[in-house]
Amino acid sequence: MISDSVEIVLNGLKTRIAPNISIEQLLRLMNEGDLQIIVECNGKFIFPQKYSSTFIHDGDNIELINPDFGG
Amino acid sequence: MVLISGFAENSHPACEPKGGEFFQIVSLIHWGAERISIMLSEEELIRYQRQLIIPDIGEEGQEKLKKSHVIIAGVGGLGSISASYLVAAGVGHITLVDGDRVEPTNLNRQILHWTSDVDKWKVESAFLKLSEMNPYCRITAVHERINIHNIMDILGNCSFIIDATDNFQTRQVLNTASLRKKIPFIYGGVNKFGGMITTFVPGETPCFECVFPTMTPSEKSVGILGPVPGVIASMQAMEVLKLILGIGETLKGKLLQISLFNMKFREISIDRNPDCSMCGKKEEFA
Repeated sequence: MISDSVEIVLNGLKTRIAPNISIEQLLRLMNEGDLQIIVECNGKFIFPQKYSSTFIHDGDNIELINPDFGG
Repeated sequence: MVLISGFAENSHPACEPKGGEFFQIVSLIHWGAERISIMLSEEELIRYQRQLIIPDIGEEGQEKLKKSHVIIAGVGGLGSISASYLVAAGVGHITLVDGDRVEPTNLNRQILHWTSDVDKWKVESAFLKLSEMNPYCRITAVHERINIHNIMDILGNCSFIIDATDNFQTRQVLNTASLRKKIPFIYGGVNKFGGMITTFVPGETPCFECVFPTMTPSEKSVGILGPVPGVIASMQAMEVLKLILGIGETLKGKLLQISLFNMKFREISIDRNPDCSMCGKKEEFA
């Protein structure tokens, strides 16, 4: 049976999203247009050029992080 | 370039106010350099006793610290702390670079600068405090805004770059210099209650632009509570000390993200980006 949603942890909160969506699609859904945002998936940094080819799976832990550049 | 360098107990024309401006020297000065001895004096053995008794350090490690030269880019919230710890630990030569004056709004976190320092150049204020903190450390103070044209001259023979800046563009310049000179670049950044830190080592780890490929506009007035840069900059100082001593585990290949609001520390694994416009594409940096 194909599930109509998967459960992930997004920025620390359990969230259900459609299956087979990419990081790029997730960012669009989240309205995260900030180019400088960095993405971590299961403890690993995702390169921006991989956003469209990195698909999110059930149980993934995703963090969308704003870099800190203050001093 | 405006620069002073020296030891606290000497008075030097570069430290004397002239015509309302503190710094008048316009060329590199390395006065006092002849006083640097690799051997530790009796006074130094006493001063550093509590770290000399750590088996991983000892006299051999202390001599490594004394022979080292670290540049601290920015003497604000982060630089105040990293500079203090490195000077106190006995790093032999510290170069401070900053083009700003002390402002009243700096005083909540930039603890090398005090109320009476408002309107002084930050490097002047920091130079005087640090020179007094440890007269066995040679301090070079460069009153200059870092840019791609002056950075290699400013770096000189230094072996480590501590990022204590407050903007993306200067970090790009430091990254380029780190790649060109093949020396470690310890990034730290803060915002409100949190911050990030990692250690970039050319040829070994990603570079700054692997992780932060997109230019971010500067936010001049981000909110910051003092202990936040205190924690991040202490870690930056610790990274440099471990690299100099060749001990422990560093943050190479790991971006540490810290929230002091809810006391959460997270480590993110970072790799070299094959499409990085700097270390991935430019042959000279590969």
